[in-house]
Amino acid sequence: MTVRNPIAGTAVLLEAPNIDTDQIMPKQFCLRTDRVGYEDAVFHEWRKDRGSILNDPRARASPLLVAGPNFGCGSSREHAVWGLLDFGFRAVVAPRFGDIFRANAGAAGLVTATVEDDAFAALVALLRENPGTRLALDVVAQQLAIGASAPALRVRIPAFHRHLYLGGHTETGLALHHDAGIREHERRRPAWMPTTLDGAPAGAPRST
Amino acid sequence: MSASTLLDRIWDAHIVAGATPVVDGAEAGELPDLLYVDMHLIHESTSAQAFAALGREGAPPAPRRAELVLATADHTVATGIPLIAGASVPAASGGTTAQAALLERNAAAHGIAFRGRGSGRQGIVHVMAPESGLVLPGMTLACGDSHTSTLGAFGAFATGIGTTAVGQVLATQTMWMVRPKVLAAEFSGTPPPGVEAKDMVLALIGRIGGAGAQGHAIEFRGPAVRRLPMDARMTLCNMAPEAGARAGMVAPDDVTFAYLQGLEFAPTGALWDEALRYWQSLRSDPDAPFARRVGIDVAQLAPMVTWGTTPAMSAPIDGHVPLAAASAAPEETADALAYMGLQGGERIADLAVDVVFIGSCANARLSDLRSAAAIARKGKVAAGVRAIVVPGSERVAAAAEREGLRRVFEAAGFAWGAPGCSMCVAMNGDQVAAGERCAATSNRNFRGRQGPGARTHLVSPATAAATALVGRFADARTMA
Ligand code: SF4
Repeated sequence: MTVRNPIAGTAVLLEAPNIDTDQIMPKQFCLRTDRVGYEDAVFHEWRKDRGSILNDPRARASPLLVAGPNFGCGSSREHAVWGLLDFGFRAVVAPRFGDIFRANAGAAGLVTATVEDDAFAALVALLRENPGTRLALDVVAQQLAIGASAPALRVRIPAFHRHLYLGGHTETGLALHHDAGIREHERRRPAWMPTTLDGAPAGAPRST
Repeated sequence: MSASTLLDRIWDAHIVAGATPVVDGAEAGELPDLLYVDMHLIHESTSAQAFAALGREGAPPAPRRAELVLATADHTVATGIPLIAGASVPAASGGTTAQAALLERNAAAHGIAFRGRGSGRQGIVHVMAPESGLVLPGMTLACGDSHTSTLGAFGAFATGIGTTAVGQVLATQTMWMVRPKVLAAEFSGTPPPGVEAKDMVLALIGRIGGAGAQGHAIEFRGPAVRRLPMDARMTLCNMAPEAGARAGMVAPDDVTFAYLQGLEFAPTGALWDEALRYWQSLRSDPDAPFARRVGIDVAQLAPMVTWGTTPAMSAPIDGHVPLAAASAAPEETADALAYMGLQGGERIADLAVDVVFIGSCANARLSDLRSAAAIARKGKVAAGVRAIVVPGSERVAAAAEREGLRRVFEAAGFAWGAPGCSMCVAMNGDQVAAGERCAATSNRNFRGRQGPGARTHLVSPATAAATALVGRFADARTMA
């Protein structure tokens, strides 16, 4: 994955609060077993409305999604993140996110940035007025620049996610560095911890 | 030693490594720890891509600890209940869905225990896992499913993760996680008859809002929680994500220990004694540093019914649907009412339902079915209402059949389905038609959750059964 910073371009505005992952990725698409090709699935019901901003040709070219508070609440389905990425988004800016959605986004390389409520209200007003405004999200500086002249907004991106995104790391890769620590922990695990091996005494170690 | 919460005790015992990256501007408590996962639960709808990630990008080709993984099929499996016209049904062959068959193959290839339909141990993952004693106090558990929180009822830290993290747990038996703050939800008083755990937790969610516990785990506490059996504690913890929480927890006590003793995978003999000594230490100190406390007197509660499109939008059964103009968020309320086919101001008890669904990991354990059956035996499902019961697991189904509950439901006109998620998420073909109103014991009433255009009202099992008999939302307290 090539690191792109800042993430600059136009934004799609979905200002409703509490957009849950059932809306972002309807369940029928969670029957798929691939990890790519979710661009047509994302917001599938919403896009049946021809007037939806998501059907505007500019939407597919917008790297930024500006969304209402509590975006991504509900189901843990990571398909929601894959759909947003496949559609073309690189970052979502919102006042608050669902916890699991945010963790999933960080792991999959979709940047999530929070803004203060009043800054969000100003951003919404601006994008309503002028939907073609260009924004630039600087992941390092944690700033969202608006248009050419307005002062940049302060945003927060979790430090661990900045590290993953900017360094091109995966969470699994970082965990694998701790193999010695994992082994050490396994040596200390209590013997009563269960395994799924039928008939084995609880906690019996398995040779590896 | 400084005072700790239950969550801290479990967390501290599972840290493999603190956050390693040195990132400019990281705030205190912002970086995740690498936690060891004692048991990893897997279902078919969030695991295929995780198995595919094994052997790629430096990941090992096989799971690190296959014997610490348990798999089942629940989201897509058929219940055998007649489908409504136009329902979308998953691809299937040989009596199973493509996704479930793929999980079974992946499990077999890697030596992972798979509990398939007909094994006697299949079920909704959060219902079947604890039945066998694989969920014990003090453990960490992860599953690619937000309602993994259910298992915190045993005094464990159990949380939902995404598919990339499922791949990491397979590869390393660890997950990166930021330690949540803890919200103490204190329930006092004695609930009136007909008020169940579902009503308690809907009342809490209504009070603090759908994002009220974001960044937190909820510890359910107080005398009214202590009196609840394990099934009901699981209902409380199940719904914690509907307040935005990462986990729900109840400190283990004699109710927990009595439930566990003798289960298939629970420790025995000296190991039981050793475990019990440790488990008895698992609770929050009296002066534990809770980030927030919320108190609820359950004596004041009535059965709850959601009227909107988030679980926080609820009212007592004897209350009214709110008016958008009078609500704190008029636009959002108006949108929700429009989707739900409501004007605002209606009496809840006047709303007629088309479908009643008793099932899901919120409320499909044996005591839920007993509670619903106690009402169902008093009458017949109202004309024009389609009522279905889907037990949470094959063990629940077998026990309910032995007790005669299935006969009670069927005699009253309920259909009885084979265990799975069914109409909770409507991925298996069981769905509610567009515009139909459904009283459901599940945990989510999001737009389209039970099918495109479906209108879901969340209720307890007793309220669901009473509603099925009356054909409108009905007060189980008057029918007990
Ligand atoms: S019953 Fe519903 S909430 Fe529970 S695991 Fe299945 S789909 Fe998720």
